[in-house]
Amino acid sequence: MMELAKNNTRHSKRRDSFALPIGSYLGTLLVLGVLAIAMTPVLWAILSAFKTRSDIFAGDVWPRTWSIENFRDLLAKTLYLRWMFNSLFVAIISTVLGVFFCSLGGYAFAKFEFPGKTVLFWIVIASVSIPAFTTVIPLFGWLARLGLLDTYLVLILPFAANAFGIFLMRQYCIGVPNELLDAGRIDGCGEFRLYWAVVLPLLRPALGTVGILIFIASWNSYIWPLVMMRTDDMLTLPVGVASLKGDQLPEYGMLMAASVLSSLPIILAFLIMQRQFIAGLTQGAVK
Amino acid sequence: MAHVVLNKLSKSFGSTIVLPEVDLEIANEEFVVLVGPSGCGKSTLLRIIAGLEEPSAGTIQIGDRIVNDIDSRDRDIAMVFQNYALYPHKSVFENMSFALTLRGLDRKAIRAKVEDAAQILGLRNLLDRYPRQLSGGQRQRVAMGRAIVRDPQVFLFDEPLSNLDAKLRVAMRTEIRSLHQRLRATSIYVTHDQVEAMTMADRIVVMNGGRIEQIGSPMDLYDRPANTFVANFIGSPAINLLRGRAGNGAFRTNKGTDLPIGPAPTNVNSGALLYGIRPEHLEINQDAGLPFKIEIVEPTGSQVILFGDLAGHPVYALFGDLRGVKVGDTLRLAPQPEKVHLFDETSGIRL
Repeated sequence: MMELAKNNTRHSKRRDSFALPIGSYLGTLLVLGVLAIAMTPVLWAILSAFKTRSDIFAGDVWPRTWSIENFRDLLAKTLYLRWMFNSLFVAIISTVLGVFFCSLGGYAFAKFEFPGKTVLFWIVIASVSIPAFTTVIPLFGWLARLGLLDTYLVLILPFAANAFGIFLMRQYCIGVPNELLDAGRIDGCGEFRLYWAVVLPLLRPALGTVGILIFIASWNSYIWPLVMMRTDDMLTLPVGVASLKGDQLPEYGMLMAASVLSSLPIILAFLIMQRQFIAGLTQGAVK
Repeated sequence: MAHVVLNKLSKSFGSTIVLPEVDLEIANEEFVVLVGPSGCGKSTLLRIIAGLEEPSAGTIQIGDRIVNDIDSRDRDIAMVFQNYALYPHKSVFENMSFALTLRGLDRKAIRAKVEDAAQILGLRNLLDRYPRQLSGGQRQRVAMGRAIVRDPQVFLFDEPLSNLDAKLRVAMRTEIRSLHQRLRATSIYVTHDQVEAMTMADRIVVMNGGRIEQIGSPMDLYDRPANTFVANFIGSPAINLLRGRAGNGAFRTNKGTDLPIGPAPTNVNSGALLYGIRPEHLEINQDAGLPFKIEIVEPTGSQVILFGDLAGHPVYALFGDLRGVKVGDTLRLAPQPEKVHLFDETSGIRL
């Protein structure tokens, strides 16, 4: 009966799509159009990275001669690899610390009662609305006094906890059944073990989401490292690549090569973490 | 195994008193069922014993230790939850072995214990599966296995069969009972289902509004309910209660019908009383019976439940073997005098 009902729905859907072919094709065309607009600069950057300097200004779409000269120059003549290491190191440590502290904070807000909990939570939420730029100057003075300028720590700390991440984790933790926590306590878990061994594995989808957000935020961060970092070999990729423009005619080919290479870790990070987006992870835990 | 003693135990949430004051002693190896309607405090009481809630006052003793200040994990108890509470990211084996791993047992000993429990519960072939791959009954077995491997002093069951279908519930009831006979572990079992309580308990604790109404063996409670609440709660269909007064060796209902009573209790007074007769204690008696007009017939196969009008009073009657009756028929029913219960109408207490 259910199967029959499903089939009927399927057939009626099919009839609908045949009944309105123009709407369906228009939708596809619209999506393709948006995709083309979004992808054109990306394709242009990738193709330009393989062009010689003269080719770039010739105005052709495809390189007349495919060249890896821009990549070679980038790696040989700049601190690109060092900046890549800096960015990777900072983004990975920030992501690990970020998901750890956000999940811990979210878990506490979702499952524990403590004085001032509601007020504290709203303060955390309200902090999302403060523009980051307004805090840069006071934080600069404060961090300078602590002697943290031009260190990795100063790049990691701002991303090690994140109000939106805490909020997201809290919402996810609310869905973790209390009986599971009770079962864990009776089985012998202390409170941290309970979080680590029982709660954290259930938060994998949220950890993936928050992890990607923090990684991208850290990776793309420009103003913060620009203000906080002093020496060339401590720069991150966005600041380092921007500095390649220099005062004279920019090396566009090299810039494009740098941009193409810089996007690879982000794509890789997304591919790794998207595997964590598994729906229904608590399935089977409780009835 | 150990005995459990609750001494003047009370619990409040803010200004709401959930358990006014509970005193209860559970003997070593005993299977005690806490039964009562939703919100009567039975689950709260169990959670206090488990250490998942703190009492507002009073003491909890497990074995020779007062455990009020001892964490759940150190109370040497195991608990089976209504919703199974299996770790979804762990396999059946990992679920069952988790507590032992936390205790630091060596892997060989853990495997032996888990396999023993799995053998008892018929889970040997499911050890590598995950909870989402199991049926409701299998999940409940895993939850019990997780409790068994710990070899605790006390087993706590919080409505463990509520989520199972009727047939599986009956099978698991028998399984839990036979498991208790095998392990002889002190067990405290919470349910709102009086049939579960009657069939499983050594002793039943009937609770209402946070108070213990009566403690006794299942048949004690059935035969000698302390008050109308217990009389109503134990037995299905519920006991018939008719208003009236006693006098001259009989009971006259407030509609003027005379009903027989057994040897009158010495404390029978002339005040308002309730005449309690269980549906199964009404019998067909063509000579001395009162007219009973059938309004509803509910055959269950082995029994038939009739609802109707007995001389102006709505009552239930239950017969083991009665065929061919239909709505609108009139039978003549008489209460068995020795099975009659008299209760004070104001206090509800049995006389």
